[in-house]
Amino acid sequence: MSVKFSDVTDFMEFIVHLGGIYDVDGEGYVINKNDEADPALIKIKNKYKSLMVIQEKIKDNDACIINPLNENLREAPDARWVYTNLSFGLTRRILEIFKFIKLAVDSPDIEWPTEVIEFVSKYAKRIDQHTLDHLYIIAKDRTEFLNVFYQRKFKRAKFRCKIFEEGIREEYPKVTKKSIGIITDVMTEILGLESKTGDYAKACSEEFESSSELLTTPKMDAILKTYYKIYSKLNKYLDMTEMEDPDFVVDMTSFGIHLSNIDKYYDKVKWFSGAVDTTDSSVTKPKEESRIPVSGVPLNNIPINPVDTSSKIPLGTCGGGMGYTNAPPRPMMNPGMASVLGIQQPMYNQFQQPINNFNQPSGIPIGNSMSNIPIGNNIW
Amino acid sequence: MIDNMPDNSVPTMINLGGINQGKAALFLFTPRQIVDHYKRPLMYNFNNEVATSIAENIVENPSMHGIDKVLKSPSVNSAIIPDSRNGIGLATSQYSDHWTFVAIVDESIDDHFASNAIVNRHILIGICGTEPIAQNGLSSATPEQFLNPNCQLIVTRKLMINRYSTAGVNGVQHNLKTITDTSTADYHTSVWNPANEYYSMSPECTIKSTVADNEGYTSIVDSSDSLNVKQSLQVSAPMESPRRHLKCILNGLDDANSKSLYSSQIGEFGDSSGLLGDQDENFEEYAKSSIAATDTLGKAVYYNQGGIDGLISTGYLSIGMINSQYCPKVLVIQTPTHTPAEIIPQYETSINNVFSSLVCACLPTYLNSVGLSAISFMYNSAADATQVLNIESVVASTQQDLHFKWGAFLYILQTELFPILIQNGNFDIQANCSVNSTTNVILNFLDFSPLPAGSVYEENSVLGGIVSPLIGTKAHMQQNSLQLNDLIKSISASSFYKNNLYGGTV
Repeated sequence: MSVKFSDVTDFMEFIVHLGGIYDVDGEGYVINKNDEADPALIKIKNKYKSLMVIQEKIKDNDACIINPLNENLREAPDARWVYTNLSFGLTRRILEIFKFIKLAVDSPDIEWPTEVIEFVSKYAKRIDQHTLDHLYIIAKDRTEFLNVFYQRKFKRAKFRCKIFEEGIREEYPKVTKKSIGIITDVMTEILGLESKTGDYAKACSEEFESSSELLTTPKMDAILKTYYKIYSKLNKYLDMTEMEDPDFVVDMTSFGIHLSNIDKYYDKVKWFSGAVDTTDSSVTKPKEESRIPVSGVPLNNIPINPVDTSSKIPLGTCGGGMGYTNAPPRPMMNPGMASVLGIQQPMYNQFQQPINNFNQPSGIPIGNSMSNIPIGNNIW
Repeated sequence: MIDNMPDNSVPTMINLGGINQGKAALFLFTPRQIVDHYKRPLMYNFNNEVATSIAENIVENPSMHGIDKVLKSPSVNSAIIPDSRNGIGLATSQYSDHWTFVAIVDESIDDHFASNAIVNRHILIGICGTEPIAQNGLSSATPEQFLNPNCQLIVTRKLMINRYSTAGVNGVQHNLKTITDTSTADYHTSVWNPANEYYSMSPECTIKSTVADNEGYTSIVDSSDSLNVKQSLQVSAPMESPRRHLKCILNGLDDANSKSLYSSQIGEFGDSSGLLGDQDENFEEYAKSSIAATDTLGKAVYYNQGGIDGLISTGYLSIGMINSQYCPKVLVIQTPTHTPAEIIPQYETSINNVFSSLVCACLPTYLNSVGLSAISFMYNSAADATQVLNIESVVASTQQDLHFKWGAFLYILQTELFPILIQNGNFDIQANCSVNSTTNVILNFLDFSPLPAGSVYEENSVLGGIVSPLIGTKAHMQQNSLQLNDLIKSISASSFYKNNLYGGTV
């Protein structure tokens, strides 16, 4: 089946939507789905540029064009943004599931469907606000909590979840053993993991491992295959949560079609030269709003803090330095939003305060470790 | 289909006839509308497939045909492509009021040992700084007496064509060969944006602009090498063809591999100390030095030491200087003031514009390499159908010679340009190129939206080095240098260097 260029544009919009917080407007610009006047920006060479999905005719030469299919030997800023966005979206969906469990547990008066009751009842007496607070501490770096990384040497993508890794308790001494146990149980259930030895990190890695046979776009192919496997498991629970945002439930049919057409999409966009990140780049995140108000946490419109990735720390040394991979950018303050942050009041409890003694394990990609930045106040 | 092509046939007439020593001519072309150009430098776009192909065919299985095998790989056709992200806007429309010129000088090589009367034809193409001729001279039969001797001739392209004779069983044959083809760019702040620095992006300059650091490679570009500082840059025009550019890099890598293998077995002092060396590191070092030594301009500099090039080397050339030394025949040619078609804005990024810019960059080089001065042709890839509509040579040629030259030109198109275009599906192209006028292209990819009817992509060939895709900004230079280093690192990390006997794992 031949594809049209509009199919490529649809694919680009699809992967933008997977992030959960962005949309693409009629001209191809990436915008905050909740605020059309809030464009997504990327910092390249000390300049903030609008992000735009690739189109057949590009009239804005100043925009950063998203074309992750043209894979260079070195990762381009727009590709990094895409992979970060994908990782961010996955984490956000997981968090929404946890929030839903808490909501369901706290709202026995609501007539929940049987499947919800079956799912939630197992955690009814175990999950509480502290659990969510602790989860938030672990997941404060959204792209680090859940991470799909690529091993160029083997052309394969793997999935890692921080909660399954050894040393999690030492890394987060404030997080209780009980909370880690509950989070682990929920995660293993929604990801459908089984392990006789209890080594869920290994099970997670093996279950969602994907490789690519494509010569031209192996990274995108392998990574999306892994996400496809993950969302195949998650979708049931995302659907269960009945979230207001329809994008949270992933359209697996479209996903599968896009996945099978990636090489054809590449043929359509290979004329568009890939960029090389010669300096630092960063991603700004637009504000996001909670869709399910949680008791005790007011809903507000204070924007989530933007991040900057100007760090010189080498990216993506996953797998013992197997090659530069799906490396999430490192955070920093977006100067454009500093004034907003200056007046922003923290709206979460003490357990959600950022921790600055984040102990970065060696060999693990450093992501948006939001040190010094109050985050996510309107999500919880 | 050819009806779409505007009647833009400027009489090139730079065919001065046979090459004869001492003959010189100065063609002056009246001003014509020149559009603002949006240059798209050639960018390295190396991916895993390219790296793997090079590793397999040049490093792991070295042979005489290793480079050819790589070049036959489809992936290399996307390895060097025009930049579609960040082009360079050039205010070239200010040259619309300027005359352009072509100066032709035939010179013999007096100090050459050869006895077969080698004669060189130098062709200089460029822009007149001021009015080159008084109004009265336009219709005069002897325009030489109306010339403005103080008119500066800004050279943008230099060619040297060599005529030599060979004797064989078929008797004496006269042959022509393009020896050098150089694009030159002078720095004028009104054309170039002073906020940027501009650099030559030849392979040797690109590889020199990177240094190793703890985290891999960092591109450090020396500002003193920029066009802004040097005021003038020369680039080897054949390198503007992606295929030739890539071949130059592959030659460097092939050479580096040979040196690396040799040094691994024979030490620096002829003993076996090389066995102890770290071969992949050696390869990286050799690759850098080999590519840096490609010296694509060296031949041009060597040949262009005397004669008319001696005049140019002073940095200033005027009509008076040429007149006093060569007393050229002057021909004034009225050109159309503009192209009678809708000119496509070059800054719009589309597949048509990106690859039309590539065609415009390559065609003059291909013409020069086979000794043609103008061509007009059509090609449809789906039917593999070609039609030539006009062809002109830089020397007097018989119809048979022109036929051969068209064949040679078509061969270059089919081996160097069309494989790049066909990567995006079948296409239809109509091109009209004159080395001393404009290059007009109507390029349609059948899988993409067609161009509006009656619209043409136009670049001015006379601008030479100014619009050369081998001169880019610092960002372009950095991107290419990092890509090239990534390629070298990727090859050196191939299984061959990691696993072979001398490499260190055993």
